[in-house]
Amino acid sequence: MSQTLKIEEARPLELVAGQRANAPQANTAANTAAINVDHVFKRFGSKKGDVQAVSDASLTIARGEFVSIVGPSGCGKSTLLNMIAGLMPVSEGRIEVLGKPVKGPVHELGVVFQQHLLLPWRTILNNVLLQIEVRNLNRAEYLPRAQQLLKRVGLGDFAERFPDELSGGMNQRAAIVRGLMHDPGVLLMDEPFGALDAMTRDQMCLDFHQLSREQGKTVLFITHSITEAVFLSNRVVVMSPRPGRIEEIVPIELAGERHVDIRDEAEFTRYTRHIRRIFEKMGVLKEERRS
Amino acid sequence: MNQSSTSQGSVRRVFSALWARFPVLIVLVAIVAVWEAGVDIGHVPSYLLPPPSSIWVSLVDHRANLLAHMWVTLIETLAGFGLSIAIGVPLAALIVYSRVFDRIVYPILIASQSVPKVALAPILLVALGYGILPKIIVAFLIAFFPVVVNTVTGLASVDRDTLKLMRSMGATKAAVFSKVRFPHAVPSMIAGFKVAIALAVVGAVVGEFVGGRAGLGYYMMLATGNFDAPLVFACVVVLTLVGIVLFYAVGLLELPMARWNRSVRIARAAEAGSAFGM
Repeated sequence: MSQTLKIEEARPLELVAGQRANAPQANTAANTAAINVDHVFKRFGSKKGDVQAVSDASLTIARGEFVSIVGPSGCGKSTLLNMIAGLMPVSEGRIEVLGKPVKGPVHELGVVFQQHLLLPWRTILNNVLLQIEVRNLNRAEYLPRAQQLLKRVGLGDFAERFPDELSGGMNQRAAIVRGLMHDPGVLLMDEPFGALDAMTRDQMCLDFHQLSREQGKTVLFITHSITEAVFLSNRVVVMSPRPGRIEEIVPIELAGERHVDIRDEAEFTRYTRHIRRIFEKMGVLKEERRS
Repeated sequence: MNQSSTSQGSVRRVFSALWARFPVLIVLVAIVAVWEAGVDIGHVPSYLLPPPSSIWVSLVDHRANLLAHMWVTLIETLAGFGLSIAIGVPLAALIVYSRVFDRIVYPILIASQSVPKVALAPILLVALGYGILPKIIVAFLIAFFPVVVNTVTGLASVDRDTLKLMRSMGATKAAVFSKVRFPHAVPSMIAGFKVAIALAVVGAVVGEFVGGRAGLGYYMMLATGNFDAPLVFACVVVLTLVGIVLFYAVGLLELPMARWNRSVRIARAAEAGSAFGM
């Protein structure tokens, strides 16, 4: 049942992605997609038998597009991201990133994880430049970019500080800058705001919306916050609990530039309600109604 | 009267200031005083427990000999310690990176810890003679283990997500080692070095006990043979000082890494506090 449904879902959505007028770099997008996930399965072997983490996921992300994956914990959304990044092999299926099949870690990406993973013995600036050092690029050449990006995310005065002197939100901003340092075409983010408190999270979400529009990157963003996903994305991929299926892909046809207030508007809440309903149907969200 | 009470007050102030800054020093002085008085009052024979004053006299009288023997022990200790680092750290890296070393060498190494290495000293003596080499080897054998274990722990305890991040950046194994694993392991390694240097002193002295012609261990045996208890204690004092100086000298290695993660810094602050108290 889901098989046919998915194929039907996927086709029109690819069209939608191509049509998006407000997507940054949409007109420069080459004919190859940024990310192409084609009938991908992932099984983890265990003594009690195989665990199906991702089943038959297909997804095409156009260049410049911002796509979020929402789903309950353990639905395989992080597994999917790891496979796209080439950090984990697929069990079945095929993934292409920027036109090349994924066979090992994909170096053309920027990856941001839930934890900031800054090295405690390096200053913020040196942490950000780790991306450059590891890639054997010229540190001096990228120094202005590092400073400019840090300034852009409000860390201009903290470049020489150490991670333990900064708040969680500030460290996560630095981690995002690190992910952008080498100017990757695609940014993969695995619940990047998941470890932050609610207020910081809202602020990060707003700031990151601006930043991602400026940078014009293709972004694959994993979250369990429906609001966050709708606010940031051009499309929202809804995943079901194990065995990790793509249940529906919801195009978000809101204005390109979004402001805080949009979250109270009927258009916006229609999307969030729609996605919530999908989860309710799957039995992920339950509400007891008393008569 | 008035004056004496104020001078009494200032004495108390000085004492409480000293007590706050150097509690260990004050306790040590108190112990020495009680020792001296106890030996005097209890008529304890000097060959059993010499009073601190006679130990001091012995220290001063034999300073040239003590110093000469101290150099020998010091060299043996440092050579054994250096060897334990030169061999222990690369071995730890092999254990972390190689399955064979991890599965075969490491368990054997851990099992070998139940061998009393001090008991190996006579065997080494037979094999290597009375020179400096068997002492260095005993010092090395005893200091080697904490170096390896702490280095392995430090190198292996890197966060898995950090390694994932490095892989996503396309980091080579060498880059992961030099930029993540090694710096991450440094605090743990230095902790191991501190234990190792203290043990290396023990190893060197034990080596000298068993058969030596020089060194503080040998000099102690000599003094014991002559029933010169103050000199035996003088040797112990010098050995203790050597141990303390070496321990804190190794601790100085931490200074270049003065900016580390918070937990390490707090640990160091606590240690610095107790060091001042010394």
